[in-house]
Order: sequence, then structure tokens, then C-alpha cells
Amino acid sequence: MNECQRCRQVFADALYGSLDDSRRRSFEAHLGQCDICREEYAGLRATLQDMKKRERTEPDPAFWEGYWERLGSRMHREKILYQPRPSGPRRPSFDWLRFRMPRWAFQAGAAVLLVAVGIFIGRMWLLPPSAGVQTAVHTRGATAPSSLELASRTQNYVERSQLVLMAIVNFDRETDDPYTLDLPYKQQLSRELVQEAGWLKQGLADARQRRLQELVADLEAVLLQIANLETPGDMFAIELVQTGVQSRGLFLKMHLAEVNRPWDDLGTRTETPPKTDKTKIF
Amino acid sequence: MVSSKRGKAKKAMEAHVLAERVCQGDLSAFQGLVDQFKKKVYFLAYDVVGDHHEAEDVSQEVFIKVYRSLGSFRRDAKMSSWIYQITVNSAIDLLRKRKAKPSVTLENFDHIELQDAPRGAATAAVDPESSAEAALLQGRIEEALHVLTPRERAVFAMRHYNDFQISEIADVLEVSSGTVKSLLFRALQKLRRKLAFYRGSGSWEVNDE
Ligand SMILES: [Zn+2]
Repeated sequence: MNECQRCRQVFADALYGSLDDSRRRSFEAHLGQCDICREEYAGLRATLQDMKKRERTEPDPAFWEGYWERLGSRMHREKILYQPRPSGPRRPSFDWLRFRMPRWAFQAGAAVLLVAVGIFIGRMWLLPPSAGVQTAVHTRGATAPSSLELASRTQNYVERSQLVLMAIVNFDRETDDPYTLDLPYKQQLSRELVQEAGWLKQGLADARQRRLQELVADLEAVLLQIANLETPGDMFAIELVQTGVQSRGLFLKMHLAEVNRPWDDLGTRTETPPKTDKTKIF
Repeated sequence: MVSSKRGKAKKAMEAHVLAERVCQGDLSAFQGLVDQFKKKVYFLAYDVVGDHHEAEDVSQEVFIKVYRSLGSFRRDAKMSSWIYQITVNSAIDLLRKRKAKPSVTLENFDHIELQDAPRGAATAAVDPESSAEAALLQGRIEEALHVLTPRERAVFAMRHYNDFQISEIADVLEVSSGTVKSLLFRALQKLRRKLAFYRGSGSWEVNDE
């Protein structure tokens, strides 16, 4: 092995600072007298300097904020949380609902919703006839619901949906007995409510109750999920429903409703009744 | 130095405590673990695969694998090395799978927009000429990285873009420091040839020293 070969063998060590003193001395001595090795080494160092100029794209802060949500959605989608693990420690339970919100929060949320809807429906009921809720009759004709009927059926729908959802959301998959849930009965109720939701959505759309219409639709989506559960004993299916409630932000919507008080709009709206093709019902 | 070592030791202990809690079903502990490692994992993946969406995909796969295998994780092992090992292996797998797909070539590079246009400092330049030059430089660097094998690229990215010491890389890859150094050296020689090619083309001097 000649001097140049020996010198090139320590290039890597020289570049990454792991030459001991005596090797460094002989390395530098050779570079001092060999143009070829000196040039070769300088070229590698320059390349390293060039490559270090690389600038990496930083993701937006929103990327990091949403990171956990996206990871969780994927883990749910890919059913990672219920892979069987034959041995080892207990598999971590992936309960986004209870993790993100304690159980009392759901109960509080549901209470808020019931109160909100109650206030809203109460107002509908108590408003004087002259300020009554308008509904379109020109196209719907005889099928258009009266606001009285709409109000009572909406209230009924929301209350019954709540009962079903609360039972499932509060079901603790770790400790509760699945049979106490009586899922077949809840599924029957859900099917009935899904049918009812179709009628309500139309009525609420005509009455321009967009928020309430959306709430009915959101509840309907989760009820549909419950109605379509194929394996009622499967904890994952139940978890999916719990996630459905969460992913639709139902409890957040209730909270927002509490803050924004959409039912307050009703008073304003009834003071300026829509002009054309509307008939007062009261 | 001492305080940094102590900080590292504390973090390592935290990771173990978090792992233990995740195994006991504590989801917030898993979130803690993800929060602690998500940036390092994402950036390492990004530096190896060179694409934002794929990097996120890889980083998610990493955490999914971590979640699935925490139970079998050796208590005496170093959590961070284990997580980065999964990251590097996942990123390398992706690069190998991608090989069939056409990549950006030198010929068409100047005519396409960078998929992830760098924000901040890179685009802050007001002078359009110097900003075009900077973009060209960045493009050539990315292009040069394509000549490396997935393993060389991973090692190079760890050392030069993610502040891993050679001994840490050796831990992550479960090889000797000598192997790491020779991978780095081989990578550097390839990069040098590639950049020399650009320099030879005369349109752009990559080395301004
Ligand atoms: Zn020589």
C-alpha cells in the first residue's frame, strides 16, 4: 500500500473528526506534499459544506396541531386498536372519547343539548301566534308540518336520540357487561329514529331552522351507525359508534350552541317574517 | 454538556415511564410519547424520503408500530434509538418501494415547481435572481441526494440533517461506528461526483467558497 492509499483510508476519520494525534500528523504531512490527495480531500470537504446548505421545508404549525388527530383517525380506520395480542402486557385501550373528554363532560354536554333544545322548542311553543314560525306551504301543500307538530316531534326525536347515544357513549367497554347495554333494543329505536329524521330534516329545512336541521342530521348519522351494527357484542363496533359521536363533534356542537345561542335568532327572525310564498300557520 | 446529558437521561426515563403507562392502557401517555418524538421522527423521515406527505405517512406508521410493539419493547433498551430505528427502516422501505416510480430528473427539474416550496428564510429573499439561485441550489442538493442508496441517504440524513452522532447512528442501525463512517464516506463521494457534474455544466457553481 502506498502513501496515497494509506492517506485516503483515513479521509472518513479526518472528515468526521476521529483521527488521533499521531495519525492526524502523518495525514496532514502527506496532504502537505501530495497535490492529488490534497485536492481530493478539499473536494470532499467542499461537498460536505454544500450539502449542509440544504434547507428543509418546515410544516405549518397547523400540521403539528392536527398531528395527533390524524394519527388517531388512521389507527381507528385501520382497526389497529383491536388487533389480538396473545401475550405480553395488557394492550393499551384507545378510547379517544374518554381520553379527550371525561364522562361527566358527555353528561354535561347532553344536558346542555337537552336544555338548549328545550329552550328553543319552548320558545316555539310559547311565541304568540302573530310571531309564529313560518313554514313554506306552496310546494309542500298538505304534507307541510305545522310548527307545533314539528316542534314536538323534534323534541321527541332529540330526547330519544339522546337516550340511545348516552347509553352507548357512557358504556365502559373495559368494565361494563355488554348485555346491560341491550343493544338490539337500542338498534330498533335507532332505526325508528332514522326514519323520523328524514321527515324532520325536511320540515326544519322548510322552517329555515338550519342549526336544528344539522343537529338532527348529525344525530341521524350516528343512529344509522348504531342501526347498522352487525355484531352487537363486538366492542370495536361500539367503540366506532363512540368515535362517531366524537368525530361529528356532537358534544362540541352542543357546547357551541350553548355559547352562541342559535335559538336567540329565532326571536329576531320571527319579528321579520319572510315575505313571499309563506303562510302563517298560527 | 453535563446538563445536556442529564436532560437526555431525564427524557429517556420519561419515555420509559410513558411506555409503561401506555402498556397499562393510558392513552394520554401514548399521546405524550407521540408529542415527544413526532418532530424528530417526521423530520428524519422527511430527510430520507424527501416528500412531506410520505414523511407524515411514514411517521404515522412509526407510531403505529411503536404502539403495537411497546409490550415487547425491552426495558433495558434505549427508547429513542428504537423509535428512530423503526423510522429509518420504514423510510428505507418506502424508498425501495418507490424505486419503480419515476423521480424528478435533472433535465426537467428547472421547469417544475418544488413540490414543497420552502417557506420562511428560503423565500424571504426579495431579489428574484438570488431567490431563483437559492431555489436552484436547493433543487440540486435534493437531486444529488437521489444518487444515494436508501441506506446511505438515511445515514447521511441522520448525521448531517438531524444531529445524530456517529455512535448514535451505529446504535440505531445496530452496526459498528466504522460501518457508519464508511457509509457516510461512500455517500459523500457519490454526492461529490454529482455536484461536480453540475459544476461542470457551468450554469451554476454549487460551491461558493
Ligand atoms: Zn497522495
